[in-house]
Amino acid sequence: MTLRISTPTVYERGIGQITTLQRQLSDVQQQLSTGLKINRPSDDPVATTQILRIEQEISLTEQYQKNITFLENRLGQEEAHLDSAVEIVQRLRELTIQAADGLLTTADRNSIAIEIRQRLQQLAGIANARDSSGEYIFGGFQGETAPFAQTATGDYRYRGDDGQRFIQVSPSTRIASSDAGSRVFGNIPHNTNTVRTVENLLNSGTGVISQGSIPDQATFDAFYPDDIIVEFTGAGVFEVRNRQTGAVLNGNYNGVPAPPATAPLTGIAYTPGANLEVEGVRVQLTGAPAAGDEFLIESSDTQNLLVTVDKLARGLETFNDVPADIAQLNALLQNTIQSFDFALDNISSVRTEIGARLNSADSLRIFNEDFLGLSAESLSKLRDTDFAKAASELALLSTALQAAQQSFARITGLTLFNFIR
Amino acid sequence: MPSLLSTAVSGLVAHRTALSTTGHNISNVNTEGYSRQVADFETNTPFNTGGRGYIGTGTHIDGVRRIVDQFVDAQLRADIESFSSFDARFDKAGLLDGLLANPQTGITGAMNNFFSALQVAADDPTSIPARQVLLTEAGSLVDRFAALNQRITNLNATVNGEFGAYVTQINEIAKGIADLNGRIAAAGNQLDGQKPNDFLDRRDQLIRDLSKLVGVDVVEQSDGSLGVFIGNGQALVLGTTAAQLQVADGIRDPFNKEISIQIGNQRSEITSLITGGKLGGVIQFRQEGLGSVTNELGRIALAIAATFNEQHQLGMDLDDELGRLFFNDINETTLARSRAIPSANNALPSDRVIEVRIDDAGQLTTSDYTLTFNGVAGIDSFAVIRQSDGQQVATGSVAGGLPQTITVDGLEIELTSGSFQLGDSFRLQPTRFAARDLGLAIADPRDIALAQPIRGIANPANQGTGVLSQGEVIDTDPLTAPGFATPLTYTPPLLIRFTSATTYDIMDATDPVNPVTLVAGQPFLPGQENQVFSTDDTQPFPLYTGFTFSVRGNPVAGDEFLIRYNNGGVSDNRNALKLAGIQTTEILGNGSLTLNEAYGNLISRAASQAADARVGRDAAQALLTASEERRSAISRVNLDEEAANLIRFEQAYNANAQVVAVAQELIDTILAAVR
Repeated sequence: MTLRISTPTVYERGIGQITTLQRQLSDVQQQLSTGLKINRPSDDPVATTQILRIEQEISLTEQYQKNITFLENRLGQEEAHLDSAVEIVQRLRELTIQAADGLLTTADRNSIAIEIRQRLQQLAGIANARDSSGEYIFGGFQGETAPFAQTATGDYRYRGDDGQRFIQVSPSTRIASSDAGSRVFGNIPHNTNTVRTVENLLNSGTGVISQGSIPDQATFDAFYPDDIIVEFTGAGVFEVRNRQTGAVLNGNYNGVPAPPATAPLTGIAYTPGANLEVEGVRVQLTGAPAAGDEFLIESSDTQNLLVTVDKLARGLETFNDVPADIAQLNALLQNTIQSFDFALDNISSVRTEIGARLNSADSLRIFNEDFLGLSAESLSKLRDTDFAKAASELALLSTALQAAQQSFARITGLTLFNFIR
Repeated sequence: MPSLLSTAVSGLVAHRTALSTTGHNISNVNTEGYSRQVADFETNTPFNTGGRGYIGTGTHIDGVRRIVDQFVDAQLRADIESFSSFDARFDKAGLLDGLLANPQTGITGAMNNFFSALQVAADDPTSIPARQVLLTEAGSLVDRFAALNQRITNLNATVNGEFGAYVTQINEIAKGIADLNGRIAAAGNQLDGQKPNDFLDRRDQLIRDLSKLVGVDVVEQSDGSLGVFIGNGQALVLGTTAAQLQVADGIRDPFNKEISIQIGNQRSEITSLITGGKLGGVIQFRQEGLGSVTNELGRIALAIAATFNEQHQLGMDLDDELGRLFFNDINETTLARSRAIPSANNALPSDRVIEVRIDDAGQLTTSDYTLTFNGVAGIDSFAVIRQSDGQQVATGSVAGGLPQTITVDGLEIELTSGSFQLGDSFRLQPTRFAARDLGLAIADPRDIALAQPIRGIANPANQGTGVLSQGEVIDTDPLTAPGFATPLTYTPPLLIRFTSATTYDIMDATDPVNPVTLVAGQPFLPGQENQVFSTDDTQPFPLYTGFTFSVRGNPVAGDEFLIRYNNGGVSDNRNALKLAGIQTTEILGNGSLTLNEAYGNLISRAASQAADARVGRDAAQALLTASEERRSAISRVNLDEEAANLIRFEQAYNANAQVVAVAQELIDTILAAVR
């Protein structure tokens, strides 16, 4: 039996073929016009998951690139400040060497002290530098507190913390974007043993302790490394003890007993601003300490750079042309030059670290860029239209559609009824 | 002796009938479901001349039959069922597919933006604009979850709506088939053996229409009527009776409509038994495609909220306060209660309260659960069954009084109060609404906790080379880490003081000048990373403090590290880095999936289903076209053929008329002879 074909089938088949071709043409046209061969996930579920993963990686990496830019700005800013700091310290070192000239008079030294004061101002400005949004750069985590503000006695004391901020620059890498002031300026090794003074956090009075000086280095060296506590045992009465042993220390206060004589420092009546000399250390207490308030004089082998400069200026301002003072001044100048050398070393080592961080940030940037390039390429392979292929497909389908349309018109025109009159 | 005239007339009559049939065919060339008809000629009973043989007496039409092939028809019906099912499934799956991955509606973009904003805030934690952007992006993420959830809920509603529409059509068609069954049976009873072709065609067409909607089995009865069966043998049409399908809210899941069939007084639910046709396709889509999408989306939302909140609460905001909740509390009482839905069949009064809390979002599954008082282990006993695999995952009893808590799959199910009794059943949907319910808990950018509440400070007077790490906060809950109980402080501040190169004391530094030893003689290994403080919360204070630090290097006796609340730590971004790390941490599926991977899985599952449905549809389409063409080749009209028949029958008709003329002449000849 010959296979019949019904008249509706002739039409349906013809129209069906034309519709199919038109749909395929429209698909190819969409691929060409959007540039994407995957226009919805079901077009290729496997590729879709890969695309999603790559897109997230790209988004993350782009963010890392932004982080690196931010990091570079941050570190660049810090570096610029450190450069100025180095220049200032070098100038200060020159001034210190000048001041050591034995031919200088008190007046000469005073004029050097004036420039040192100015440089100290500049240095404090750098140590208290803020970024564009007002955050203190060298405050550790204490970004809203000036890290090297002066106390009531005019001393520079570090008020920040050791916090260091990190920035994520790759999935597994964080690079430090800051350095705490304690690291940069705060803890500079000191040529001789020295002290740091601090009021107890729990103090209820307004007493402030000065940063202290060490007029008698030999006595202090003998005492070192113990710490000294000044405790107000009653209203306006204090005693001074060795923190480690608890023993009451001998010394003199407000010139009583007259130096070099010493007496046990207990039950001493407080006079604001008077000199307290104990174990080779000289400090002043000012303000109104309350009963129970304590002040700590801690032995240390490091010193805040600003304190070093301040002490230098004070020494030049106060020491007179008498042999005892000159001897102390020379020791101070020697120690200070050493300190400046240590400070320069320290700042350069921070600068070197920053350089290393910038280097790794830079190599990560390049790595990230390569990665972005590769990702974009894989993404393109996965979802972008192959234009050559699509274009030839378009041509092929157009021809097929034309043929289908022509043959449809031809076939449907043929009917026996044309011949029946 | 037969008359030539009557023979000729029989030919005229028969061919006119054949011409009518041809005309009927031509006129029905475009009638859907029409099968071409053929008039069968048969010779009349011959005249027996008695010894001189039989003389033919002409022709007649024995019957008009329609040309059909039962097997081809059955195949066509099966192909229609299969194609319609795939087509409906693809239609819906395509919607879902487009929804999830679309950059405008999907989660991916919003999630990436959110975490990018977090990184920007981490870069510059004091920047209020950066924090504001983070809040805005968090808001967009929350909105996106809710919007996507809404779109999927709408899709679910559409599916439920289609149930109604399909069921109405099915019921109409069933009535039509029952009606035609009656007419066909009546025609069959007229004993002349002739079939009502056009009725049969119409019934076949109705059955094909029905197959588009739902898969059916068809059995021909002895009286010519067809029995139509649905599901696993429920009679939709039997003789002249049509049963009615009904749509009602599901008993197990009130958010899904279910289909039942009413036969007499008997009503049975058959949703899960229905396959094939558009209805079968849509049901399959609902089961496979839609069912767990809202749950998976909810699980992702819960994981973000839980993980982010947990880390955020370990942080410190710009006002030195401990981080509060960033996203809404996922275990807020109303939410916890909304996760348990009592069955409509539970005995009155409806006073039972169950709270389903998320204990560990990382362990959550996407399944729903049923909690049933089944009485297996005593009248007060109940069992929890995980729907996805039918496993019984927990049992318990309220015999010991309320509340009763059981923990399973990261959930904490608390039977809080009420008159629980035998036969009670609850559907637990821990993740179903979570995407909708995700919300932001903070509005002030200053409240974003980017810092950690604890910092360590090395005493500048330290002589050794010991270095204290940045520290890690692991617990700020005042119950387990009471140091955080008083706002803005850690009480007491702690001092690590080295008493030798290999030992240190932990001291209370409330009075930093005169610290008090809490624990003495802790061992220290010089030159190595030494963890100070424990992560084990069963250890006493100050071994467990809620944070850990480590010291490395070579500290010497007298070196001190102070650990205290991070007041003023506005530039600290340690918690921000931890929060940003959530993006790439595997926080779902017991530590196997990141957020993005979980969402990717969701998309790829929907995409696979859509792709699967499309491939199935395309294949079914090809089969259907082939079947249709086969039926068409057999049963449908070819106009050329009919034109030929027209000519053939017309010529025969004319020839018979000629025979009449000859007979006329014969008579005339006789009459002339006798004149």
